[in-house]
Amino acid sequence: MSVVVAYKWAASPNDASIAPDGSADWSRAKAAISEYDPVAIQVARDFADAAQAELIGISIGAPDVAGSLAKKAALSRGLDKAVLVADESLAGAGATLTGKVIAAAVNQIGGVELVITGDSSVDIGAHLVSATIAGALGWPVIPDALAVAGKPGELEVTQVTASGTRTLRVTGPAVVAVTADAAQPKIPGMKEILGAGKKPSEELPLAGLGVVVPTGVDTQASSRVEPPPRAKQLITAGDPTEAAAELAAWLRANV
Amino acid sequence: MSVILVVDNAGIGNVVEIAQALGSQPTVIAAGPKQIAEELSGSLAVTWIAADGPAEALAPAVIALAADADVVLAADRSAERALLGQVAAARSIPVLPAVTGAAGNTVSRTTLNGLVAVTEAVSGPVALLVSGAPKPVPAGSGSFQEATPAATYQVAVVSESASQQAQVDLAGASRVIGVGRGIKAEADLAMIEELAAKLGAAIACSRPIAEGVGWLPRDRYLGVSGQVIAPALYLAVGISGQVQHMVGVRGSKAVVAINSDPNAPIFNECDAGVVADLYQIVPALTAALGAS
Repeated sequence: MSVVVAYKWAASPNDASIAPDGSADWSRAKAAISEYDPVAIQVARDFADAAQAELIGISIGAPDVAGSLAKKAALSRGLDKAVLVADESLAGAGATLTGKVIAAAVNQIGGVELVITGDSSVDIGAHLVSATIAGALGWPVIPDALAVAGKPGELEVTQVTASGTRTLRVTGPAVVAVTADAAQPKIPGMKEILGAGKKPSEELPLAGLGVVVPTGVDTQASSRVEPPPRAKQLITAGDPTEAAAELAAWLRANV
Repeated sequence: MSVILVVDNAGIGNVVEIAQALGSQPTVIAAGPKQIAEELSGSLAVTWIAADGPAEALAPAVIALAADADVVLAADRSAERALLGQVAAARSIPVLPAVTGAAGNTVSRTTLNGLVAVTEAVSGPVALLVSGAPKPVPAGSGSFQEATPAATYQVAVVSESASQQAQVDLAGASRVIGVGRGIKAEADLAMIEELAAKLGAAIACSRPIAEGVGWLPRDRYLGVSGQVIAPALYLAVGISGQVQHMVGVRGSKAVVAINSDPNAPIFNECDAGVVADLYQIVPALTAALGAS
């Protein structure tokens, strides 16, 4: 019995340099396990331990997802095994293609009844891939999960809603997307990092997964988003009372 | 033909505008409370999936009803987003997030977490996730019909517990104070509440305050994946102004910042700013406003 956690290997766009034409120079941005995915790996590790299941990580993308840096970073966080689909054509893949490739890898592994994902990716931030994995598998997706209990095929998921929380019982296989604070991820120590080198990983060729690439969208133009111009009037009075009085006057005059 | 997926928020005016700009009057597939579906049926043709149970269970019915639409749209809110992604993958059609505009067969949106704007030509069926605050649908003529789902997933609500924290209509507030990591302790929010009372402002926050430390409910955080607001005044207190946050507040008429770091990016995106310790300025500002 295996539990799958899907994770992304990506750099933060805050560290990229964006040209006026919208092109991004990533040379100074370092890729890592995407911001919220260590939380997903931790939740999945804890769940797999309780269910006595094997934990398999799946990541798809450009060839660097299968590089030794990326593999060690993921395996040292508690995966038993990594399954990777690394292909140049997956660089910048959209949510539908990403979900379909991950779903195809899940089917290839076989016998999986739970896929856990993080909240959203650091680079795109669309919160969509948990849903596209589910859509491709024909499984339900439970977003905004604070906690996952039970066993694969019979889950109890605590979910954040607009007005509080609720508990859902999910029977059958499912995709669960956990919130950014569903767990406190453990920082891998030297033992975990050294151990990661001995854990297995497997690469699945994209061609063998039979995924049809969705088409029909062509980029016509792109540009860097420029913030709207603002007055940037700085109040520099050293004395807090004076500065506050100036700000209060500004608010009365302008708002 | 276009369809909009709706669960529990009828404020899809912005989504209707995108559908119309792409050339068709949208219909609605509603997979949530009947009351929401009925409300929308005053202005749009609504098919309500007649079933108990959460939207999570109803995805197979939504996928079946949206099988032939050229454009499938949803507002960028959690339950709707989950259905849209499932429809896109089940149909193997592209899904475009963060859509902000459309004209003819082109779609405008942002990518890289709000840093880059792109315009894309669409040829063939597509799913669109539309950004923006909830917006009422203008009155028109509509209709209501029920659909009995042929299949559902086995997802049931076992229990619910309401949040103790008050709900605030951020989108409707004309003044909003946003608090960030410059606030050192939860108890210090009292000082912000006093200022908010004086200004008549609602209190919102940056993401770490809602999700990292949980001092405010999740629906109060502003930014690219949180709430997007456009008040007359946005006062950022102890917020550095990372782009992921600013995307949520750029529509504000006036942006005012209080931050002790003169290099904080928020000072490049404010109308007025005070470089100072918020612990000194906030009480002084409350007092100064009271003196008027």
